Amino acid sequence: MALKLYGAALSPCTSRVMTCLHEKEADFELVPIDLFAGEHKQLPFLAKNPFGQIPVLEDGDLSLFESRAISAYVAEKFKETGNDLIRHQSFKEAAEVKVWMEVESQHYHPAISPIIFQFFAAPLQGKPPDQAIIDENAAKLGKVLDVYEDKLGRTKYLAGDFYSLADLFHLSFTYYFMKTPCADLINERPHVKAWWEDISSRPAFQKVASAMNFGENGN
Amino acid sequence: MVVKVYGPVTAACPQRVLTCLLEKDVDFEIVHINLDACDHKKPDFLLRQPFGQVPAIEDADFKLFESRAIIRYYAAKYEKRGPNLLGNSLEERAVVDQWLEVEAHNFNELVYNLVLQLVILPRMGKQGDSALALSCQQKLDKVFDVYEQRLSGSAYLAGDSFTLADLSHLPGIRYLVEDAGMGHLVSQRKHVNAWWETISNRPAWKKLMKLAGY
Repeated sequence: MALKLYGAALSPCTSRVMTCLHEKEADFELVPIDLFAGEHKQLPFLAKNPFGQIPVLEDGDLSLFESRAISAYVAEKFKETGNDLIRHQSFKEAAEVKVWMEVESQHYHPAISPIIFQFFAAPLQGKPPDQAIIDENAAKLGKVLDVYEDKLGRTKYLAGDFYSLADLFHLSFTYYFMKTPCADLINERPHVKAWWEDISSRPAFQKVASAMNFGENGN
Repeated sequence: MVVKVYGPVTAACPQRVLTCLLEKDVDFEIVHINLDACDHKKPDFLLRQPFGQVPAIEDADFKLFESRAIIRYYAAKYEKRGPNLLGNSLEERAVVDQWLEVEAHNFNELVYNLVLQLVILPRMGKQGDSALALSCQQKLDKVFDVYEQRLSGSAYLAGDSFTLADLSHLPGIRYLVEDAGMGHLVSQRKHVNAWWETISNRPAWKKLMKLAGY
């Protein structure tokens, strides 16, 4: 039975999981959830994720929400196929991957997410982007990226000299970020910029990025 | 050789790690970091943790930071020792992970901001933002509603056993109940209250409370 992923192709959290599924060459069916109609905040979807957020993965009897938990499950379940995202053969490398997955979760995401919200979601609510929020978070993101610049000057990818789930977790939000005026934060840091160009050109992400057109052509 | 845990025993994130080590009976040494003196922002600490936060650990020559990565590492390293904090199958582990993510993304920031406004800033002699505190409390109310529904169907967040998903909540809920005057968020919900009573009475957590001098 194929995996079912409930979500939206233009959503960064859904894209996070789809990128992982593609890296692992796992078959899945995307079941679209209509965000604009508020489908994710009503039954029957609420029964799948009581927090009313996409995506949700169904694999037989197992139902999961939280894109990072779903991705970690997929990376583990399919660890023998596709690209090794979790370094399952080395306990210590696996731990390093987990550290940088947490860094994305606790440092990168909280700074980049409000910027994406202001540029892409606020206009849909009839509000112009709030420059104070953008500036405050750009400053925080800059400090996080300084740490990344230093780390990526020493290792090719975040957890070591190997691509991993830690790098993958950054793709979808950064993709939208690079369409904003704040993209300089990435482009001005040579190691970060080279890392971004490398990870965003991977075929698994390219498949997903083509549908990430939020805010364009009336989407 | 003992695991060195860098951070104050009274801070939430070091407590998350220390609880896990106590559950797994792993010997550790707390290397106190004085947050008031900003020791965590000084150059030699930044070499351990480039974001200037506690905790960091050192286990012989292996170093890690980020409390949730550390607890995942030790829960896996000592999987066969003490309680199984991870789950028995890939699917069980995924559900543990799911609720750990819920704690990290739906719960933590609200608790952190609430405690910052109501407890930490006033302790430093500064004015807390009561509007922000109210907003966090209202959102946290809704999150606890989800927990209440979940815990009406299982004894613990990820199923029938205590796991990292429950453990990860201990320090934050302690702050809410004991320091921020928000105990009603827990006590007014039958299943959340029963769950909190159970997990906060575990011997490992009680040992930590003693170590922290509460």
